[in-house]
Amino acid sequence: MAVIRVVLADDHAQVRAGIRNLLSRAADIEVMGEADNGAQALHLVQELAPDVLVLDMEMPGLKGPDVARQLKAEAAPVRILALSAYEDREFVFSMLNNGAAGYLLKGDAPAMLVDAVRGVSRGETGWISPKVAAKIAGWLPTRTAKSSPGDEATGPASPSQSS
Amino acid sequence: MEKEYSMSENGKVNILLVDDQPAKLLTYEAILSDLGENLIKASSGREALQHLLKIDIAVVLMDVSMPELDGFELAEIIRQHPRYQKTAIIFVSAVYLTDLDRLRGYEHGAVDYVSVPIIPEILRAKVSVFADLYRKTQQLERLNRELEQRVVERTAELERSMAQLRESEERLLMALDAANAGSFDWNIAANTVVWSPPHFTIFGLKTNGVSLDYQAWRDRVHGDDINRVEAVIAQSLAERRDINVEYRVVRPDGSICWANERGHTFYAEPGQPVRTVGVVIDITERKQAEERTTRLQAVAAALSAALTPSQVYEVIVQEAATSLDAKAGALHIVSDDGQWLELARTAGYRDEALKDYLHFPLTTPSPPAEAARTGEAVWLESAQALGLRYPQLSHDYKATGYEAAVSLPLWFERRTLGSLNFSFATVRAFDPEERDFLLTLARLCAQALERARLYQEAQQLNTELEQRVAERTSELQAAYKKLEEEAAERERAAAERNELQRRLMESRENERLHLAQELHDGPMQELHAITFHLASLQNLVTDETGQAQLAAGQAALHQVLQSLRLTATELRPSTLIPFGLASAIRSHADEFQEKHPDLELVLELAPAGPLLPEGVSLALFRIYQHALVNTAKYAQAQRVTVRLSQTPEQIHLEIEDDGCGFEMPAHWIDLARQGHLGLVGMVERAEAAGGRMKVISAPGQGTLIQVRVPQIPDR
Repeated sequence: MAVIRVVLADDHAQVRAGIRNLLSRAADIEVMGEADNGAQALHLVQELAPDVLVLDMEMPGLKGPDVARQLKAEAAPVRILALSAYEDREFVFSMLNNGAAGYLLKGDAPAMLVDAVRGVSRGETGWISPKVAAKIAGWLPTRTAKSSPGDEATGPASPSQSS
Repeated sequence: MEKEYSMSENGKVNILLVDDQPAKLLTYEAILSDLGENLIKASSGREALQHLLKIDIAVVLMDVSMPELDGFELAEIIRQHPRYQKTAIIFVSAVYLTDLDRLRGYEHGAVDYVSVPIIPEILRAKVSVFADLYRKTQQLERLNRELEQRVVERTAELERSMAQLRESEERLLMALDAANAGSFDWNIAANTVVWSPPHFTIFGLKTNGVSLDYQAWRDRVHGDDINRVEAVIAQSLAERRDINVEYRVVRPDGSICWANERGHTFYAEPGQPVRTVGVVIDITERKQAEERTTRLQAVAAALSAALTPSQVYEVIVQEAATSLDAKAGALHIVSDDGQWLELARTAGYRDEALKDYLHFPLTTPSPPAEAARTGEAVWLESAQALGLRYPQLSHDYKATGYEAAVSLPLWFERRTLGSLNFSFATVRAFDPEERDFLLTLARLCAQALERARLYQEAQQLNTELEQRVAERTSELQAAYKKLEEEAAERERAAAERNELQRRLMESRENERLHLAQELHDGPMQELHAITFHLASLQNLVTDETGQAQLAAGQAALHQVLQSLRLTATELRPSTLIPFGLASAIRSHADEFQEKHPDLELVLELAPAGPLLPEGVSLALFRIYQHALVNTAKYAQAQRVTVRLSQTPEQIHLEIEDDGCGFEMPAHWIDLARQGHLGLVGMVERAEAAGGRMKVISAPGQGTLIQVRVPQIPDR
C-alpha cells in the first residue's frame, strides 16, 4: 500500500500538531512537512511533491485560496483539501473554484479528515462538510437572482464518501 | 239742354219781357218759365226803361211794334247807356224786310230776333243762350275783379317785404359795421372787387383811390398763409360750398391782423363761378387770446416736465420771457425765514442792473419786493411810469434802456413764494386780457414752484428713508452674520460631536473586530487543536464507557466551538472585510433564515461594485443586522425584503417588512423613550458613516428602513 504523502499548511502550530497527531495514527498517511504561511506551503509542495495539501483558509500573507490558485495555475499534481473555519459561500467557492478537491470545516475535520485525505489522494472530489454541502445545495437553485451566475457554475458535485 | 240750365243756375238772371199786349206777355212768360230765370214784365218802353234803371237785366225780349216807343227806339235808348251797351236784346217781329235791314245796324252788339209766329223752342233756345252768356260774363267779371284784388294785395305784400328787406339790409350793414366787419363783392369773371369801408379799415387801406382786383387782396395776405387760403377758396368753389377761411393780413404799416373771411359764390351754368359776395371780420383779439392760451399751455407743459426747483426756475424765466416777448426776466424767491428775496434765476439783465437785486429785504420799495410782499402785480407801462412810481429807481432803470416792466406775485394759497419780473423793450399798454394772461402765467409758475418744493421735500424724505433702510439693513446684516456665525459654531459643534460619535463607534467596532480576531486566532484554534487530539484518541479508547465519554467530550467541545464561532461572527462578520457587504448580508441571511424558518427573507442585492470602505460596510451591515433582529423580535412579519444597490453617487440599503409597524413619533428622542433604542443606534450609525436613515412606518403598515450613504472615493 502506497503511503499518502501530506503537507500541512496552517498558521496555528497547535492546530498543526493536532492534525499531524490525528493523521499519524493512520499507517497509510505520512505528513511530510508543515508550513505556517502560504508562501512556505507553495515552497514545500514544490520541494516535497506531496500527494495531498491540507490547506487552511486563513493564513498570514498568501491565504488559502491564493495558494490554491497558484498551484492550479502551475498545474501541480498535488490534491488540495481545504480546511476552514468558515462556511460562507465566498470562502467555499474561493477554494473549490481554485481546484480544491475538498472543503472541510474545522469542526468536522477531526471526524472526516483521515478519510478525506485518503479520498482526495485517490482523485475523488466532493469531500465537503455535510453542513457546507447542504448550503451549496441551497445556493444552487439561485436563491438570489442577482447573484453572480459564475458563482454556481463551478459548484462542486455532492460528496461521495464511498470507498 | 234744360238740364244743363238748371245745373248751371248758381244765380238766376233777370229777363225783361216788353210788349204792349198782355196776352203776348203771357205767352212769352209761358214759353220761358221753363228756363227758371227771373222774368220781369213791362207793358211799354217806358216801363221797361224804369226796370232797366233799377236792376241788372241779362236779356231784353221786346216787341218791335209798340205804341209810343217802338222796339228799335227803345233799343237805341238802352244802348246809349254804357251799362247796357252789351246787354242782349231779342226783337220779336213779323218778318219785314225793312226791319231786317235795321236789325243789321245792331249786328255788332248782342242782338237777335224772333219772328212771328213764335216757335217756343227757338225762343227758349235764344233766350237761354243770352242768359248763359250773361252769366258767364258776370263770372268772368267777378274773376277779373278778384284777380285784380289779388294782384293789388300781392303788390302790397311785395312792397312791404321789399321795405323789410331794405330795413334788414340796413340792419345787417349796421351790424357789420358794429362788428368792424367789412363786406366784399368779387366779380370773378370781370376780376373786379368792391369792398365796404370797414373792409378797407381791416386791411389798413384808404378808401379812396384804390382800384381793387383779386391781386390787390392777395398782396395783403400774409406770405405764410396765402397758399393755404387759396387752396381753401379753390376747394370751396370746386365743391360749391361757402368759403370760410382765416388768415393774417399784413397792413401797409407792417402791423398784422387776423381776418376771417366768409363768402357765398354764385354760379353760371354749367358750374362756372361768377361772383362771390361775403364778409370779412377782424378776429385778431380772438387769435391773440388763442395764442395766449397756446403759450400758457406751452409753459404749463414745460413746467409739468420740470421737477426740481432749479428746473422750474429755468422754465419760468426762459419760457415765460420768450412767450411774452420780454427782453429780460428775473425770478426772486422768498428766503426760508420769509425776510429776504433772493435771485433764483435771470435771463437778459446785465450784471450791473442786478447788483441790488441779488439778496434784498422783502420790505424794499421796489417792484419785485412789492409784488412778492403784497400779492398784487406791479404794472409799469413805460420807464416813465416806473419813474413816477419809484423815483429812486428811475435813474438805474433808464440806464437799462428798457421801457415797460411788470412784477408778478408768485403766491400759493395765501403764501408768498417770490416774484417774477420782466422788462420789455417797448412801451406796453397791459390791456385787461394781457394782465389776465400774465397773472394766470404767474399762478401757473407759483403752482409749479410749490410742486417742485414738495418734490424736493419728498426726495429728501426719500433719501432719509433710504438712509434709514440702509442703516437698518446693515444692522440686520450684522445680526444675520452673527446668527450665521452662531449657526456655524453650532454646526461645528455638531460636526465635532458626530466625529466623536463616529470615532467612539469606530473604536467600539475595532474592539469588537479585535476581540473576534483574538477569539478566532486564540481560544478557537486551541480548541480546534484539542478536537484533533481528541479524535486521535478514538482508536486508543477501546471500552464502550471510554468511547461514550470521549464522544460526550467531543460533543461538548464542538458545542463550545460553535458558540464561540457564532459570537465571533456577530462581532465580526467573516466575509464582510474580504468579500464585501452583499456577501456578508448573504451569509448572515443564510443563518438568519435557518434560525427563523417562518419568516420569508428575500434578498435583492445588486451585483457588488467596488468594495466599500470598511467603516461604511460595517455601519450598513450593523443597520441591516439590527433591522432584521427588530423584525424578528417585534414585527410579527411574514416577509422581509433586503435591498442593496449602489450608484457612483451613493449606496442605498432598504429593509422592508410587512409586519405590524408602529406609530412614528415626532422626534427621535421619543423613539428612544419608547424603547426603540436599536433604531436610534441605527440612525447614529448611518450618520456616523456620513449618511441618512429614514424610517417609514405606521400601525398595520409594516416598516421600511431606508439608508443612503454617499460614496466618498477617498474615504
